[in-house]
Amino acid sequence: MRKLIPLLLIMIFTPLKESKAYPQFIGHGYPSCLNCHYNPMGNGPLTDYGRAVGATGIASRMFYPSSWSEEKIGDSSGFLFRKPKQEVARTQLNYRGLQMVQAFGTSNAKSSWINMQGSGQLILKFLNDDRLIMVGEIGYNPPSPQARAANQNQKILRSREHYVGYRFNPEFGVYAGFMDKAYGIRVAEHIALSRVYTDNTQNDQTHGVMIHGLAGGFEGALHAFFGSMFQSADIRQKGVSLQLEREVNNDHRIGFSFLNSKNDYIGVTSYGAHSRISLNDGSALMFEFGQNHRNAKSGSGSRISRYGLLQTFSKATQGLYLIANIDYGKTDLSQESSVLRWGPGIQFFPIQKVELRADLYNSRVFNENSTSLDSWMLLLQTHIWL
Amino acid sequence: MISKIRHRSLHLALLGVMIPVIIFAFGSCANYNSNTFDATAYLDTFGDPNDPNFAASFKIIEEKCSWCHYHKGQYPSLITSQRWVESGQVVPGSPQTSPLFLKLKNPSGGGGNMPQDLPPLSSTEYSTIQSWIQNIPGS
Repeated sequence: MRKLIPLLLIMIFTPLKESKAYPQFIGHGYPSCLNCHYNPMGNGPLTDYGRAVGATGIASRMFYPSSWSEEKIGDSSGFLFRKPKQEVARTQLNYRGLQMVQAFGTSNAKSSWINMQGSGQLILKFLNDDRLIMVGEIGYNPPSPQARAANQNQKILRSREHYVGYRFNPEFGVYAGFMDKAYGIRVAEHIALSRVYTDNTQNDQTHGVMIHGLAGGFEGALHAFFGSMFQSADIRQKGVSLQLEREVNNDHRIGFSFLNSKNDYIGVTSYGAHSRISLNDGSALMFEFGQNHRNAKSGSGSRISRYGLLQTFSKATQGLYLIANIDYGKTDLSQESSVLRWGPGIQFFPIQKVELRADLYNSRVFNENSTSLDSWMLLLQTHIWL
Repeated sequence: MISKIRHRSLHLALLGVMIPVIIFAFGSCANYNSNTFDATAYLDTFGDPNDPNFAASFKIIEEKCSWCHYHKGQYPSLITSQRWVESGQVVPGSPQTSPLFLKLKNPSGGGGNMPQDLPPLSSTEYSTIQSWIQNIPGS
């Protein structure tokens, strides 16, 4: 690890002359989430501009007649493929389904379909340049097959976002409500150890207030939060997080994140360094590494975890990306056991509002004197938004 | 003109449906997340007052099973031995017919396939769960 540190430092601090842009779309010249999302930290519904970018600059054109202009394609990027006729309200629908094949390639292979997301979003926007926004999201909450088998009475709805945002100017805004914590690179994989170790998975939104700003080549968000009000008070994680990125050459961002929170049982501190680099014309490299400290207040279970993530997105042609993913984690630094997960993937946007993705993961657990056998998992994802 | 009216009507209908649904639904949303099990995971005094063996077994399940089983969210309500029994996963006094135990890889070989893609539980962990089920009060 010590030998890798100088290499990582060189990678972070060496600007790449030919590189251009988030998280992986920094490769398309969009280093900031604010360009395309109502939430300046990304995730959640797309703005009109973001929808148009998705239709014209990200998705393949292979199914469009060659006579269709960019403007015509962009105009069809609204709800139900229509151009919005008014400025106040926007509605969006999202669906994600996943075919998961565990023990892929073996006689014990087990395949299951998971409806990961089926949600509706309502955005109300007021004032010039949409300075005042209200975003609400509600959707299907997928119970695990195991939970169903155990006859657990799980609720079928979940909201992952509802907040009000006000931008005093393009450089500064305040957001209050229920949203993701500002921390690290929010890669799409919620099983990434950088998200699991730091309690930033798909269900870890919190109520709070976030300020977001852009100035002098920096972009950052400071988030004061008091946990999910849907939970009992004793387990709500209350605290503060910071995500800060510095732009280098408009095509390379280096950043730092910090989170400190606690509930009645445990204090959590996470910190990490991250970088996003545009490689060329839609391709990008991203990495993040950091640590998480858990301090049990009166019991056992305290530990320090370490994680690392490296992802590359290589644009093969418009709409098609080849992915390489390396995910590393050591749950407890005092133990020898660590996990390494890696694999290739393909992301394809055949037409606007449709994303198809295939990821193959190899996992191994390394112990002091032994290593687990290779295990393979295949994930086939369908994502549709209207 | 007709198209415009239809479009407005569609939006109004959506607004009319979504706003009440959102307001109603927020109050009855699923709430499990990465913190759901903090009380059981980090509080040594956690346990089932009717079963002194429960806490040790639950911590093993927490550590070795919950990770995949929905990021700790799968068993949020199974916080006593009785609830495990009610779930059908555990048969009091009978590890060998308890689905939970049957799914575990036996550290000596054989058994089920859990934890999937990971090494089996240690012999101590395995026997802790076995002993817990064997000795659940009332069995």
